[in-house]
Amino acid sequence: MTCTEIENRLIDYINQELDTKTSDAITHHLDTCFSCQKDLEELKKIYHDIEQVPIVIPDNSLRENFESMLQQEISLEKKKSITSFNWKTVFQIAATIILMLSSFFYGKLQSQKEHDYELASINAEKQEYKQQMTISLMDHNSASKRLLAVNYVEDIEHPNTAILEALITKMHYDNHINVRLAAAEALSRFSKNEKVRKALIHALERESEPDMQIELIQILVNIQEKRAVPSLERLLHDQKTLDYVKDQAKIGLPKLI
Amino acid sequence: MNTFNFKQLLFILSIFIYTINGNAQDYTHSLNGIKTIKVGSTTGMIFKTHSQNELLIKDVKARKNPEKANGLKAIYATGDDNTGYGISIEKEGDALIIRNLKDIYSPDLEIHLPKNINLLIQNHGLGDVTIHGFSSEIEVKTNTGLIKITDVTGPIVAKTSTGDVNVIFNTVNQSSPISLLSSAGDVDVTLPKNTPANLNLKAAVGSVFTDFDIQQEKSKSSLKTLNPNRSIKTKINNGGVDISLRSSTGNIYIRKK
Repeated sequence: MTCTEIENRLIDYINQELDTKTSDAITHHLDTCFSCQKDLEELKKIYHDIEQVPIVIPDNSLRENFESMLQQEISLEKKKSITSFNWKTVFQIAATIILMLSSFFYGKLQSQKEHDYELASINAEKQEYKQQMTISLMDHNSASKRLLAVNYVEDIEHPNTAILEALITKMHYDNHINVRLAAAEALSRFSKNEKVRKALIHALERESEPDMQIELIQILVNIQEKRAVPSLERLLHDQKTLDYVKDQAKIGLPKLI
Repeated sequence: MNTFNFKQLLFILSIFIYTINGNAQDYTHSLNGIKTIKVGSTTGMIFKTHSQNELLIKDVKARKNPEKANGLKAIYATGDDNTGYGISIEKEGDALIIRNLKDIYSPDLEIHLPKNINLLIQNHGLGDVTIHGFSSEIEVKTNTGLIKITDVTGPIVAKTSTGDVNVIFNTVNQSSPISLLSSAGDVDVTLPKNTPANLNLKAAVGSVFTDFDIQQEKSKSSLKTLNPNRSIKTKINNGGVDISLRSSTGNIYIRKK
């Protein structure tokens, strides 16, 4: 045991409230440690002095004095409350209440605003997160998962540029035409975006799959994209174009010119 | 009496063993750590399920090299014949890649697999693809071949150029979209009658037939603006997983069971 530990237990030691093991250890320590011996002496002296102080018992006169004073105070209070109705105090209390209420409502209003703001930023973060998730899902090994990502985009009201670019890449290069078609269909929802329009025009220029050709022709006619006219004409005159694709081009062209 | 019985038994047993060796020549391969099977073939392909965790190619005897080739090794343009049956099997991560190296007139491949293994199948020849009993994710592409998938849950992404796509679901996995596409053939799907789904149906020049209750939108279009892309988006059983069915020149059939 260190000296500080002993010091903390000296009071218990004096009062003999320690178990014998600890008590013996302290006795053993006290045999050799001079400073602890000194501490013990001082403590013992304090105890001794306290015991020497006589206990003073108040006599009956003190009690009587006190009770008469109390009676006086009570009767004084009673008179006061009956005689004067203090308007000033009422106003003070009312003012305090109004002040408290108004500050409470103001605080509530503020926190509501803050809350709304927080909610908005959480929503924005959620949107952002969803867009990032969607972009990474677009590179999934499974074609069905890629379709899931493409279909997600349709639910996003204002997709950012990154997500539109990812969608355009899917439309051009996914190795499943099912995914490419879905991407083209999703992009057609954002045809107000110039980048998307250009991508759709560009896609029809280079497309060789008949199903994609039909989808792109229909989208470009729907969004009234006149810059697609040369592509449609080329398809019409190209020997490699399948007849049913040519028919779609034939139907579409007059609607654009 | 006793010896006769024993001889008889031995005889029957030897005939039995001989028949096993002679007829049932199946090729097996472990599927430890394999999640996806990728198969490429120009011949027809049949996929069935079994309870062992192994790949089994049925009756490979018919694929043996001709006797004249004894002592010689077959070499193919499309890969290394590491099975001796004109089939190459390679492991790539958690996928097993199987290539049928033989020509379009060689026997069909019949492959047995556990029902939960993902399938990714490509047929660039003339053959059909038949799949039965899988509860995993399936991707199929064929040229002219029919795609026939029965007793499955999806997700499925399938595309054929001139063949039909026929799928009979026993339940529909709601986790990820289903997309079936035929350029010039029909798409014919059977769903359990309580399947919740969002349907996106598009027959560019064909018709859509169904016995599901489909809420028809009142036709608002004037004769002049008849919806040129002919796409129908509707929900069955209050909506669920996305199911996209498309055909450029064929019809779409959705049956309930």
